[in-house]
Amino acid sequence: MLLKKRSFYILFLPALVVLIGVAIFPFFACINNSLRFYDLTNPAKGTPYIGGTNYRLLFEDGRFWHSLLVTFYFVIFGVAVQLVLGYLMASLLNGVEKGSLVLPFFLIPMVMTPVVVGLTWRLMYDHILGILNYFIRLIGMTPQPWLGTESLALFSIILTDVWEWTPLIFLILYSGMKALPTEPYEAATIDGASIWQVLYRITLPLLKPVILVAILLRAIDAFKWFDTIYIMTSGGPGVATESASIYSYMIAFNFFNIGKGSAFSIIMIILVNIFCMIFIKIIPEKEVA
Amino acid sequence: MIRKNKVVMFILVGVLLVFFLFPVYWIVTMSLKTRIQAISIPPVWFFKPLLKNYTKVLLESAFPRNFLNSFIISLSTVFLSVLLGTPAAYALSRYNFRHKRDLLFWILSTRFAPPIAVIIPFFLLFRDLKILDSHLALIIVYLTFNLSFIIWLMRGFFNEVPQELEEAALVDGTTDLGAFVRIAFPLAAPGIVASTILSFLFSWNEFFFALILTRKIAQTLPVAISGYIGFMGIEWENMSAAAVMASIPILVLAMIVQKYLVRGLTLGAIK
Repeated sequence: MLLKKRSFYILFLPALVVLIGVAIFPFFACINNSLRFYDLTNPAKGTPYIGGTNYRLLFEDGRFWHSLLVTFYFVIFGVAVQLVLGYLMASLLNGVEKGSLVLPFFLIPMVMTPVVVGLTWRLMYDHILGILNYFIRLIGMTPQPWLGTESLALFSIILTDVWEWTPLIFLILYSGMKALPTEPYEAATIDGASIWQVLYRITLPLLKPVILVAILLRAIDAFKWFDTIYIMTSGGPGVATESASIYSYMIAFNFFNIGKGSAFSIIMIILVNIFCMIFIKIIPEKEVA
Repeated sequence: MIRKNKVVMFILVGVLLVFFLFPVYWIVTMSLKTRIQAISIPPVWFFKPLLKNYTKVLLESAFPRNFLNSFIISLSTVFLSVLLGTPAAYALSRYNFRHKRDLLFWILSTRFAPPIAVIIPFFLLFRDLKILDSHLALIIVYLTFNLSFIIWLMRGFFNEVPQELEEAALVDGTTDLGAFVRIAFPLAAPGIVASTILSFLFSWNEFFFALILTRKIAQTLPVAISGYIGFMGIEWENMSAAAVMASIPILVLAMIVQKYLVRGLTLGAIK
């Protein structure tokens, strides 16, 4: 072992203290606040303990369940579309000579400031002045209120997310494909395997670790996703695109109900943890350590 | 047959490039148009580019101050994260102990925490300390994602530096801390620079915490731009000029760390 024990502590303790401060403090403060009546618009009542009332209020709140459902849609559909499209793109570029030349262009959507992404798409989605409806009319279809109706808004929001993050999945899978061994494919060609057999029996199993990493990261981000939704619809129309991150923000910072917002936070922490634990069980040990 | 396949593939790559680049092209060209051109349908494809919107945003809005705020906050939080995180990353790379894996996972998991759970306690704390809407408030909160990111990513870079060189230095009489500063640190420098830049990029782009913690004085660029949407109505040309200026530093930095971008965004999982 290279470091002496004392040196290890000198190097690590300062960071550990700060980490505990910024990570542990909020967690316990949230638990504490979630068990209190804590309303910033009603300071006269103080912040007395009320047990599990905030949690009960949430569970009885249809909007809470709806926000979880919307989040679920984002996680499932958003990530699924990104995965399929990213995979197709990676296969395509992998087959094109000098395909890596265009890679830098695909970096732009994912590094662009998300607020700018949201703004750009909001302008493009505009019902009357937006470029998207211009193209729609150009090909002879009916212009749509992209962010204006409930079912369409959900779709449009996911489309923006697909634009922003498919490139990441694509790049993950592309580098995964570049690292694939060639022998199994040569053997498969000799044995006369079909394209689908090659995909299911060779490519997907070999890419499984990178695919899982991609899914894990994107799913967690989709769960936390706030910025572009807030810019494009703020959860509307109605509550159609109101995800858990948007609704919990509303409860805490628009309705100023800190108690209920904290209870929501704790529930979200639990959900993320359950999800991660399931996933870490699936990912082979060596891929993470 | 092969020829034909090639053509189809090139067309498909072209379609993808158009899909992923058109929105960028659209916002950039819009920032160079007059208001009438910016909102005209059918769109104006050919026009004489103007810089008027840029000068207007720079001279007649709070943009310069927001830009400076973003810069100060991002730079400070990254500086602190690197200062604390680099030694910690090295320590976690070169020292083994029981439950190290659990500790590493805990550090990683702080990045997965829902932002709302982080911000409510900090909001209340900063309100009591009367430092809402200050640089300091955001610098502290941004440590929640930057520090663990820096530790996690840099540990990976240190792991790639062969230990033998440091061991040789120890034999020559250097202390272990000296070996870190004089040998491992310079060898891991490219990775350290990349992590630093990525961390800056995340801080610059961050919106949620800044939305809650800043109002006016310390308002960062993303929050300011989100505010334009309500106030400017159809001043699309000015909005897009501000948006483009906010994105330029990020795109430049991203191109510099291109090679490490996917590694950073996947928290080191994909090399």
